[in-house]
Amino acid sequence: MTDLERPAHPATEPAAAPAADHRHRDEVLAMLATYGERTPDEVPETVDSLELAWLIHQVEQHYGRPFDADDDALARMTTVTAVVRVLAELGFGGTG
Amino acid sequence: MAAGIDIPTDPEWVDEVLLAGPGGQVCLVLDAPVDRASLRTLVAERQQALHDAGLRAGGSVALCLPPSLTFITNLLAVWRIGARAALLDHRLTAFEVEQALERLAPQFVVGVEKSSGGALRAFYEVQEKIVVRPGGQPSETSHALVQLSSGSTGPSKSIGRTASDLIAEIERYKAIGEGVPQGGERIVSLASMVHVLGLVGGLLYGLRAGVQLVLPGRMTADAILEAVAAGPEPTTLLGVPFHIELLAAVAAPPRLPQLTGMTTGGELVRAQVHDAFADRYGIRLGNMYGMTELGVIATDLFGAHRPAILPAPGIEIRADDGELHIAMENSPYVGLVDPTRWSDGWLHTKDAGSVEPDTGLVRVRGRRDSQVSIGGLKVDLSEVEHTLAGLPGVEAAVVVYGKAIEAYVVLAAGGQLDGVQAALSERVAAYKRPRAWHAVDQLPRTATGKLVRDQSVLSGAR
Repeated sequence: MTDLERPAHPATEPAAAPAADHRHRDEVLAMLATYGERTPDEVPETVDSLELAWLIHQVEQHYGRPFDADDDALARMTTVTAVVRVLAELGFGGTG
Repeated sequence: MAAGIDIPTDPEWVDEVLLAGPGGQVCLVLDAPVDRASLRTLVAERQQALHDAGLRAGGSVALCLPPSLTFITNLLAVWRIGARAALLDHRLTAFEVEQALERLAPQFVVGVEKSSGGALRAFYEVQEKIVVRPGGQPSETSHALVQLSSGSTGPSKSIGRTASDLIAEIERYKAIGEGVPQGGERIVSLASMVHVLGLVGGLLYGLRAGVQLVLPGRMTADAILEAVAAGPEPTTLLGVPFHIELLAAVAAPPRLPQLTGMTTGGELVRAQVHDAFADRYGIRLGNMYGMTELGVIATDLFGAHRPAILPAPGIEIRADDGELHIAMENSPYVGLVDPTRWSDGWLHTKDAGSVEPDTGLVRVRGRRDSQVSIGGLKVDLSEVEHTLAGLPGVEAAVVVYGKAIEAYVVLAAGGQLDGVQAALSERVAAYKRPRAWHAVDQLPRTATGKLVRDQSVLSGAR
């Protein structure tokens, strides 16, 4: 079984994030929403490990290349905000 | 179901049932293959270490280890000594572990000294440590295995199983026959080995039947399929419905001629997911129904009876006032006398369901209590609610499950939501915590003052 650890306090969205980040965030929410028949509004800020496994697969299909993140990067992907940040760092969308 | 011959702590069963077989036969593949000779050596080493620490036949140990070779070898070593092993999920908080240890009073705890592994890892590299618990009690029962039904606060149950119970379940898998992996084949297990499906259906049955147990490097779709592709032997995937959803989402999976089927425990998958999976992989997709109390109960390994299931050989099921009851000679509960859970040779499952009189086919129609399954892990909502409502800063709380666990909280004067969330995170494991929080002025109540848990009513209170 996978880990389901996540922090109790989801990081909050920076107040003045650039428009590209918002677009990327919406994209991440849309990808997460495809798991469990949810709307993007229903996706919680925290990302559990099942959702993370789901998201990685969606990212790979969306970008058509493998998502080679190390344990440290994966361990940081516990909130939607953090996911957007890590994806950008690894060159998957966002302002990178 | 009769428990069979009671051989509670006779350590011989470990060698006879689990460790026997050709020394060169690979039985486990975590990061590297482990053959039976190596496993026997590793178990003997752990046995010596536990013996040196003072563990003797009839003693008691709690294992608080993530899925790992360390977990497997310590479990087998404890049993080989003739002692009782209680399994604590490594995701529990320190608070929950302490509560469980107080309840179980083991003489020793085997925990993590050092561990590598992390997000999405199916197994860890673990260096264990053995801690003596002053005041720990030897096993008072003949159980080889003790598991907690959910959490550790409130009225959670300690479930005990004897060696003969476990052997009976392993034999039941063998008796089911077709659809269950056979000797020389592989199981790629995605199910936690500290819970009954992964533990008995994967690890113990695999050791008994000469089936190689493989854990993927990561719990991602690619890594799971890579693990399947890594060997030529006929391979069965074992997991929970989430894994079907994940694999069904792979648009163009590689050709995997060795993949013969997938079996999941827990709730039924949605029909469209079932169909998408069958379409992608062209293999059988089976469903199993089981409980920690007695393991596998009923199966539909070829999807032939979907959504119904057929009782496994030797299992007798009846519907009593809409609740499924299963014949079980002795109560599986340790230190708990509750006639609503077991009485007169019948286990009361708390699952709603029916049994077709002509065919014996069983329909399971969901829980009749507050238990939900999150990715295959059981969560008792009443436990979470009880804990939340008892925190400082909380006046009242209701915890419900829709698409996720949700909390509705009335904060006391001066109470802050983030403080409440922080306090809860110290007390209950991450997978049990609410994903959505609603701070409300008041909670809807019935005319007699009871809290309302209907979500449509609750959402109106936001």
